[in-house]
Amino acid sequence: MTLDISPNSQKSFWKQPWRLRQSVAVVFCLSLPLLAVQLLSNGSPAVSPPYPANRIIAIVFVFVFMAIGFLFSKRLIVRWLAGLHLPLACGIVMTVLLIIATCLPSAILELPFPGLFFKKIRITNLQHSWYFAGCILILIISLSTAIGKKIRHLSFRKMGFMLVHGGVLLVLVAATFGTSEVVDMQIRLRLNNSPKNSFGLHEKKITLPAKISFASFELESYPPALALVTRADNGGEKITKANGLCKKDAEFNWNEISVKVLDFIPSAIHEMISNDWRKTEVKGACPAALVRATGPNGKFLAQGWISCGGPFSNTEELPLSIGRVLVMLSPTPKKFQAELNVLMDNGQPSRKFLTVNHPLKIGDYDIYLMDYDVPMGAATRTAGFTITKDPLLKYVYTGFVMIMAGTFWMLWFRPWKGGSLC
Amino acid sequence: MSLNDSVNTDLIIRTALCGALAMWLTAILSYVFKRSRTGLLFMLTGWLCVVALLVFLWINLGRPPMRTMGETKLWFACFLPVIAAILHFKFPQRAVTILILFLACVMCVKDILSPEAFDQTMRPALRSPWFIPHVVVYMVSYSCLALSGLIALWNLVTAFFKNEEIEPSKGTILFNLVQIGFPLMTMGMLFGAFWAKEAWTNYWSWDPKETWALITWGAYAIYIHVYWRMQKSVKLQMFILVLATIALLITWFGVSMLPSAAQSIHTYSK
Repeated sequence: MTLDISPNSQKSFWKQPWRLRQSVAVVFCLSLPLLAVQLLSNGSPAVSPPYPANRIIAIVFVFVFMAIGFLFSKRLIVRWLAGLHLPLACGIVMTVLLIIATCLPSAILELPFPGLFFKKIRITNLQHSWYFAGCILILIISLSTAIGKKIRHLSFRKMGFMLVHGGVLLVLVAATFGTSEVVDMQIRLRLNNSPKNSFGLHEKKITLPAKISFASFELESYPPALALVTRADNGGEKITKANGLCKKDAEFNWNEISVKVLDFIPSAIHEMISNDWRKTEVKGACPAALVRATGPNGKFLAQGWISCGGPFSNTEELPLSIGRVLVMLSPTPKKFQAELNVLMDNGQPSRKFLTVNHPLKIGDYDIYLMDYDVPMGAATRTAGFTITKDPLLKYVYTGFVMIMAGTFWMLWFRPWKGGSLC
Repeated sequence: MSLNDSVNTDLIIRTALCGALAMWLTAILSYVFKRSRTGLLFMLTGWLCVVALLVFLWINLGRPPMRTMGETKLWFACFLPVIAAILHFKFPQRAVTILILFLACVMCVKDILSPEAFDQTMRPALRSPWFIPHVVVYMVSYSCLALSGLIALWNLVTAFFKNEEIEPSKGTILFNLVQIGFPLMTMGMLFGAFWAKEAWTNYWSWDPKETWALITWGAYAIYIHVYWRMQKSVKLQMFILVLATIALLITWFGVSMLPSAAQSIHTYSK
């Protein structure tokens, strides 16, 4: 097989109507300069214009291509823009990039080459790269033109199409052009510090419509699990977690080893003098269990206290034999909650509770409780919060609802045909 | 009664799974020997075993059994026979029912061979009203879509060995399965986005799981477009469907094996 690169073959390749091969070539050719921009900008992220320019550009951009689709729907180039091949080509290029991004071993990124190259082209952070943004822009162009073209022959039957494609367009436009308006700031608050409403510095400074202070913290955890640790001479460890959680009279089995929990204190403290564990109400105390381990045929192996430790007590393990110890794993948090004192600008004070999945809304801002000082547990003195603001979120959500409604409309409310399966 | 009580939970789980497996294998044999009614009865009994196991786990764990990979496989195995039964009445074809039961058996065997440490713990992020609809809707859609991919693969392989074209009517029923699965997958993905906004501050964070969910969604969207625009290219449609199913399997099982999985926020099994 020979490759024909004569002028005639080049002419025939670019002759309209364009199909998938031409579309891939166009997307590739447009992506290359953007890749060069990415490299020349030393890996700086693609940014959308600031407000209100971003909204004006987005609206004009979408409406221009809608108008082109509406007015020139018979032109071959418009048919290609509004057709299947261009978004398909875009999808192929984006999918390949995303597969590379998720399949790239982190060790490669640490190498001077090609690690530095990958970092510069933001392969692991594609959503903020120039060439990925270029692909999204092509998708927006194609969707806008397709919708404009369909408006010309709008009917009830095409409502599903309009909903899905309009929804995808709305999501892409709002999410792409709206990035410059998004506020996403991580802060750490200390318990009982004075209330404040201003966070960050210089241009990244945000001012909330209320003063907030971190008043208290509650942590609820599950009982801990036990695990058998086998330590090898080379320092390696094999941890085998028991099935079930620790509580008094519970029994656990690891093949030939059986463990019975004789006593369990959910909130305990270690007493140095008596070398014993006792119950306490102190916040941040750790769980401890008195366990008895037996080997094959009920042979006694060891008995003693084990604990995962905490801010006020050390970890305690129970050696069973050479290289094998019984340990208590740190309890999994069930729920953690921060109490904030909120003083609104109009002077109205209130107390608000924040948990994961339940952010606090103050004006246009959402405040999320993200983490706490894990080693300190319930005795934490600081907690991590994230303040966000996304003015275009309502458009993204509208797009989501349109996509959902449209897929059901298009696929469920149309005649179902029969046939054979195999 | 809880899992820490003397009731041997492992034994109950294995018994239920082995029971379901035995019933479904018998159902497969019944279908092979053209005893469809007997097959349906065994399929139903196996399904009841899985449903009973799910109810048992839900009560004993004190949380929806939807957190780990093994638990989601149980839901998958639960929905497959339901689809098989619907297809059995609408388009009675033994080969399809056998394929579905085979897939359900594979799920059971995987759960029997790699038992998980079932415990009551559930991370704070999972305590959301979105949790149950997100997983259930996804599992129903995965059952339909994986099934369509499997049947498409079967059709492609048989067409390859018989060296013949595939009839367009075979593609129509596969499209019907995608008609059910795709809107539900869209719903599951967007429920996930609403939930992510509440839990992690952002509706889309380009996490490996989310990225692969998007790739899968895109692959099925391409299949739908190709089906509508290229009605006669049945082989191409089925080939895309198989590729989409591979993407689906990577999203479900494979993401945890990818190098980028270390940064994933969608890891709940550990």
